[in-house]
Amino acid sequence: MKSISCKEAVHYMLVREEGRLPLLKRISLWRHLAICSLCRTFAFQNKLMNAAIKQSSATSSTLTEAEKEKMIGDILNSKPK
Amino acid sequence: MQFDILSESQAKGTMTRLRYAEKEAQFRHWVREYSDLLFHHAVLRGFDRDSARDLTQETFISAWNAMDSFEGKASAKNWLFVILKNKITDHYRKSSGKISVLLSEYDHNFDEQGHWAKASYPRELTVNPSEATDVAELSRILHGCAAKLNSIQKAVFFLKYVDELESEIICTQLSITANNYWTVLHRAKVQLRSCLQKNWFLIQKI
Ligand SMILES: [Zn+2]
Repeated sequence: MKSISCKEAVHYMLVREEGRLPLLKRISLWRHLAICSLCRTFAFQNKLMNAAIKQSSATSSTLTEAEKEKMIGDILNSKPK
Repeated sequence: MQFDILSESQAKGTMTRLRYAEKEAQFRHWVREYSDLLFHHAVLRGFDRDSARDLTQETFISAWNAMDSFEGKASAKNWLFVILKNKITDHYRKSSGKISVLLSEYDHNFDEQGHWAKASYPRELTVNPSEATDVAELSRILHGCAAKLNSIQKAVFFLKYVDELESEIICTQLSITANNYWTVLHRAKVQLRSCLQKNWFLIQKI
């Protein structure tokens, strides 16, 4: 079986996330991960990122009351086309 | 006779004014009730504060102009979200035109054999995934890093990982090929991880 590069390994990991990496490619990926600690680190952190991005960032994501009232005013006072 | 006609048209005028006042009150209620939800939705998809507010406002402008066609079959909230999502897709689609610029750039994260370039070596981070503060910190950094992606990378990344859409649907929405999709995603992920690593070690040193 042909061995794959790190760049290909990353690609395979991303396809695998969708559950559609064919068996032979899955085996190539396992074999690569078994010998490449850099890609193992990437794979672990990739999973961390997938979970972390769904968490809301700490920065407040609400509008101020003033912004809402201005929005209402702007829209109601502009003549529709 | 004259009097009757006059009062009828006056009555009609009053009705119209009443209906308009009702519509206006309804609209004010929508903005006060739903603007934060819409705004938050946009912020979670990589829009900065100003852009997210603009998108929210544009959503309400469209809603106000189309309010007569809203028949209450769907909930107002769902209706507003459909409008917002369409606006976000439009925004993303405009960015997919720039894809050739991105793809023509050489990917410096790997050498010619496809091995990690030295400067891009993934290093282990001292993150404990079961530690809430670690996860929160990671999330904060990651959102900051995602904001720095270019617009087509952002579009692909958020549609996939936040909206959790299938790759085919994302390709259709953005009018890009599957090959380009994977390349964009690949680069986005590698770039994000590098950014995360850099910033993580930065805060560890403090
Ligand atoms: Zn590797």
